[in-house]
Amino acid sequence: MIGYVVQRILLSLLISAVAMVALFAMVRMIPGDPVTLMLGARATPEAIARLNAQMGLDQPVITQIGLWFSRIFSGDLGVDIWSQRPVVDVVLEALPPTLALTLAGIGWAAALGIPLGCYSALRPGTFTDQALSVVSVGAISIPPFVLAIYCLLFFSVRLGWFPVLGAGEDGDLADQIWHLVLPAFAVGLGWVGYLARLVRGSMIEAMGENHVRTARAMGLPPHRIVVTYALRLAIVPTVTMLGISIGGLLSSAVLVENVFSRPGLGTLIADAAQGRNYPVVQGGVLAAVLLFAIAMPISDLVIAWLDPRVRKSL
Amino acid sequence: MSRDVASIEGLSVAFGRPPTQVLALRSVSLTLRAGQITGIVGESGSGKSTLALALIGLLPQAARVTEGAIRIGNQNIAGLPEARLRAIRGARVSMVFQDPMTALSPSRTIGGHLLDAQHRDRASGRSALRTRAIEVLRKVGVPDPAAQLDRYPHQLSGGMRQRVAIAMALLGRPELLIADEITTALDVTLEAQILHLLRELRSEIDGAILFISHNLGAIAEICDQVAVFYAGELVEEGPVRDIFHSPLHPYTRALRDCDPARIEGAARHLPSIPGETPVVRAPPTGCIFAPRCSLATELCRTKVPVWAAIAEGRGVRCHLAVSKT
Repeated sequence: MIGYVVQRILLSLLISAVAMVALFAMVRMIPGDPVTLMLGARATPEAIARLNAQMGLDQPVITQIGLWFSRIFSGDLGVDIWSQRPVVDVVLEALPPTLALTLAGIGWAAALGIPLGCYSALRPGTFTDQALSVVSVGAISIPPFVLAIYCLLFFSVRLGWFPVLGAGEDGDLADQIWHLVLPAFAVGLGWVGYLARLVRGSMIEAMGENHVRTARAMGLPPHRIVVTYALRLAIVPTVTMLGISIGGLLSSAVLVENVFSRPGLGTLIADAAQGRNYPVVQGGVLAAVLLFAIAMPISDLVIAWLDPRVRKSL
Repeated sequence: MSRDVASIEGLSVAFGRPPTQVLALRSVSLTLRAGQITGIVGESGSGKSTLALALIGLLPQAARVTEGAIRIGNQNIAGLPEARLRAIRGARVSMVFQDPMTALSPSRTIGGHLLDAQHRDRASGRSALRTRAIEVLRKVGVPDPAAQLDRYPHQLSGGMRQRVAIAMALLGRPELLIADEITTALDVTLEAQILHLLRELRSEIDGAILFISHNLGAIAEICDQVAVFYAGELVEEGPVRDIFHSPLHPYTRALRDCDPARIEGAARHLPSIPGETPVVRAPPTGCIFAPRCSLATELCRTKVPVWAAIAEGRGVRCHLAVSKT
């Protein structure tokens, strides 16, 4: 088991490293020279050479990559060009709201999608089942930022149930949660459809399993059979899917952040990219990559917890 | 004669609707008595499992009871709503299924299964239920029972899993224990052990055991009473000695003659009954076995034989056998 965890973490590190090299290359391919951009068109050649040397840009590319990696591993992501603060601090500030939004989005998706999937699976082929599958496909098809705008218009502006903008007062947890409900719903609703379809499929299969029949033969109440005997294994493909889709969830969160003017990784990266604030762009994308890389081992661990047979083969 | 635990009276079960319906059981009557093991024997598709599912109230949704009664004690459970059937399952009637490799939940410990099997006794507290689970595991021959509780099914062998399944069935203190092909997936040594266990349980549980098998050797070894099924009908019933030594129905005789254990000396071919078990979609117009019966006459093909009770617990459904006696 411990060997398995170590193995997964090493794999995540490898994925992150590859992504970092790609990130490095991408930033290099953007037209324009950061030094000229920083010093302006009328800078003296001496100043340009000094800054190039200071940023390591006069070194061969391989050395630059090496330098970049070693700086990242020592926790140095460079300096924000605008505020002159360390990028690490800027990114770590933006991370919690995005993380909260993504997790709350998964929460909404699971809280609605799993029960709906189970409900359909227990009466396959009925009108309710078919109606729910139409609604599911509908929910999948709505882009999250469109949904975000309509949620904002209807629940916040028209009904006034939820706040319109921002992430809530610092230190006021209830206020922050209240600010989180609607954006998270916008992030999660599309996934409700996916989850419902996926859970429905695996639940129908699970309800036909022999061990579910055993549970029925014991006279267990239906909710116990569904939760303890069927759902626990039927949920495994869904967890895998969520682990892989964390990238998609993050990008929904990034878009929704913009609509609701919430602070976060999305707003940070978008603003930085517009202002050619490359160190912040790199740092923000790197944070997203790391989130993606740790999501997979986490989902694998959840699966190992759900299905003991997986533990055995580790 | 001992107490009747359960009885089937003129039971007919159909799957689906005409014209594609399947008449899985037709006018079956059978009584299961306390302290007895009743064996049910027949080929695949003979209705053995449908009968078992009917007795525990687990018939699939596509199945309909078209006539007759299923009595557990004095209660007719045919057509009862799901919630009432649930009260029967695992309490008055328990069932052990064929494949021990898939019958237990892979994500639940042995202890979890055994606690769930006692879900109606939850009031007596977890430690009491645990003690009882250990006790029953020991009774069914599981070594070091306390240590097994924390293990998962995939960590146990097939024979051990089947013992756990039997323990689960016993924990509800059922009046009727149904064993549906429980030794089919096991090797010969394990089969002998499980049969031995069932025979011990017969005297211990205050109820009846229904033992379904297509293994005649196993039936002969542990059953008191035998019912022979063919294509959804009960064709012959009697005490185990009579069924094996003086069978009345040509099908029973043919089955017995096909048992590989009876073949003496070298034989080039295994004997078999020519033809196949029919899928019955409409009420038959003659004896259902006539097309495969070497003795069939014009009467057999044109008139449906009725059940002829010869003695208490002895009967046959065959024109020829009745005319002979």
